[in-house]
Amino acid sequence: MAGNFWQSSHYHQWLLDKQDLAREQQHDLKIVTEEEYQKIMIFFANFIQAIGEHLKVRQQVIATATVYLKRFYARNSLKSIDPWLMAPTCIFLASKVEEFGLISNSRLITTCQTVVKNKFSHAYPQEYPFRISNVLECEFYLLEMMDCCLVLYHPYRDLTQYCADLPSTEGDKILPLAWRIANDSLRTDVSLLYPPYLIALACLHIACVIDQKDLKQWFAELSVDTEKILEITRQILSLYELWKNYDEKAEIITILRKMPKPKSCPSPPPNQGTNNQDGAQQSQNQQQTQQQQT
Amino acid sequence: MVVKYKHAIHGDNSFCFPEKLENIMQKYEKLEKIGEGTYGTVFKAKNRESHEIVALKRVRLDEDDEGVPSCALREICLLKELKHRNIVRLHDVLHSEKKLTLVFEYCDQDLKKYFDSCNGEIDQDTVKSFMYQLLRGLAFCHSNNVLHRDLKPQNLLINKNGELKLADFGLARAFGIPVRVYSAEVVTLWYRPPDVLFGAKIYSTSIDMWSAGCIFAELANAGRPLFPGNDVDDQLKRIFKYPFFQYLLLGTPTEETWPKMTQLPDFKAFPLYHVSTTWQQVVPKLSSKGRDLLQRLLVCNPDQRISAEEGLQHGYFSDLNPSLATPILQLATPILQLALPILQLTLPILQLALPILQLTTPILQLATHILQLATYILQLVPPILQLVPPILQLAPPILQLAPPILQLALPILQLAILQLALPILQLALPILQLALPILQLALPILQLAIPILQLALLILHLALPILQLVISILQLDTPILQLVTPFS
Repeated sequence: MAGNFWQSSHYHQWLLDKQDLAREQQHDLKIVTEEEYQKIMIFFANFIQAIGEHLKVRQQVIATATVYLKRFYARNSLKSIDPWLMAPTCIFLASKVEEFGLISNSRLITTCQTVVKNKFSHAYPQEYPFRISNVLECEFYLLEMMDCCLVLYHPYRDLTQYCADLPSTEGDKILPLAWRIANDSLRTDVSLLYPPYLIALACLHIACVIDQKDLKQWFAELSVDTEKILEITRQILSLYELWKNYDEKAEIITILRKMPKPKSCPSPPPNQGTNNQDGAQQSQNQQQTQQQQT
Repeated sequence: MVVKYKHAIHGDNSFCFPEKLENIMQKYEKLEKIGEGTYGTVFKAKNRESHEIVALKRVRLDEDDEGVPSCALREICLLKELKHRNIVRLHDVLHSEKKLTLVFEYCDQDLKKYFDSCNGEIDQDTVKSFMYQLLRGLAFCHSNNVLHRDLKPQNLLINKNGELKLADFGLARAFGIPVRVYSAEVVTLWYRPPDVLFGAKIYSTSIDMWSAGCIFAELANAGRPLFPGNDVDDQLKRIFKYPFFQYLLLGTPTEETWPKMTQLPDFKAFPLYHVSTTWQQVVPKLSSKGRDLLQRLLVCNPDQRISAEEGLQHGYFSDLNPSLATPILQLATPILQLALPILQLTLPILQLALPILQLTTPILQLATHILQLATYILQLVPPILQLVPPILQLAPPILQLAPPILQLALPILQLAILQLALPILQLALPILQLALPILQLALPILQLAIPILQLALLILHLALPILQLVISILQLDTPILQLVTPFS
């Protein structure tokens, strides 16, 4: 919706502060480190991206779904609902909200199965276990937890407007790069913390630095909170820093094993011998840790 | 906002986090069925705690279906963002087994039912008030880039105060960048603009403005629909037979008046109808200014239709004078905000004083009665006592007279002193003793109550003129609402 951001539920209910985030995540952070937590969120954002691309939805739907996922886990532990289920649910709901149209039930689940098998077998060697009934139930919880605030504002539109406002044809040249940075920003928490126009400016700022374009004058005339833009810039840059020495394919399985999981999972499909036992062991350990905590 | 409910959809299979969940019916008492919405039944209900009357719209979720239906999602999405006095308020969304319940503010009826109760008679001031509120709600939607797309009398709710509210956003959608192809099958036929009837896939706020025009004419004619077409062809024919165009002659639009018309997907040529009816015949009771507004709404070329914002500025509404009301209201707000804390201060003090006062009053009344009784009895004693000396004085000569007379005097004395005065005195004493402690009890309470009352009075004196000011200012602003006669 293109309405007024300053009157929106996004502005009024869903700009969190860092203390909020830290408080909600503290239980999970007793089990995984902060960096591992970040890697888990990046991983499931990638999973959403992969499902979305396979379903050929617009980037807007993928962005909305990713923020839904972040909103959910900003208020709930990873063990409340398995992110392997939450990810397709976010896509399912976002597609309806963004008026992309309904994704058929069977197509959604088949896509998940295919994507997991082809692209994520290093992280999830079993067959994708969830069914549409799980997604529909999960959609309920997602709606409820977000307090039915479904309309989101993304930095893309602001970005386009700012680029149109840039002197001469700078905007056209810088837009594609800034756009990609905005996509990357979905792998950080900035979408939960800052209004989209500031994220757009930070993306533009980074793009200018990379492209060595001098827009100091233009930024100076904006009269916005420069400190906030720098904070966002730092968070996005630290993501690039993390990516430098991170081999997701190799490392993610260990992190996912550590990840807090729901106590009861849907019964796994048969013929999953060793992995399955391994998983059971893991979840048992998990439960013990939980008991110790309580 | 949302009430959690255990085992959301698939009870046995539930793997999600079970939490403390409560039943919707514990929160709301269902009163009666109001009707069927686009996607579910609507009930009137009462909040058990606040006693607020609400409308519950139940959305059934079928298994193996689309999950939460898109139309329900749209309504939730948009109403969560659109908060305005002319748009129905979504209070709450409740989840329970296999259904979703939307909790709306309650309105007594919709415009369709209002028409039914009119019996063909409608006050033209009411028409103006409703139309103004319809445009105000629409202007707000459009400024938030939301198209309603399904305006019709059934979707306009009216409450006791004559307030009109846009409802049923199940077909509504957000518009903006990127420009998308919208479905042409929107808006109930009678309220569908000619461009959409010709299959226009791209439309904007003008779609709602045509519907608003149709509703305006229907309002002015106390519920007689303007174009009750049977199918798309019939609908277009009816439209082109009406005298819409101040820009062209009468009847069917031409390439000149609507250049893009022939390019519309389902365009087909209509004969140039010669129109014999006049606007006066179409809406006989509407003022000339009203007819002018109607003509600007019912323009075939969507680009030339007046916008909701422009419509609000139209001369037809000049005697509603919202431009005057708004600044006064803005003035009233800070005064109201000032009055509120003072009033809030008064309330607890008054609440404190009241029970004490209530306690004091009966005790005082009892004490007074007893005192009065005692006084009467005491007043009765002296004359009796005065009666004794003369009797005593009477005694010596009688004594001297004879013992038999003495024998006569003695019982008289005994009668006078003992049997009359004493028992009355004996009666007065205990009552007085009873009155005393009660008085002692009442006194400190009274002493406590008096300063509190004085304080409360002082604050009330302070708050009263402010409230009176606010009320008078509000009354200044309400001519719009008061124009509408309250419903019986």
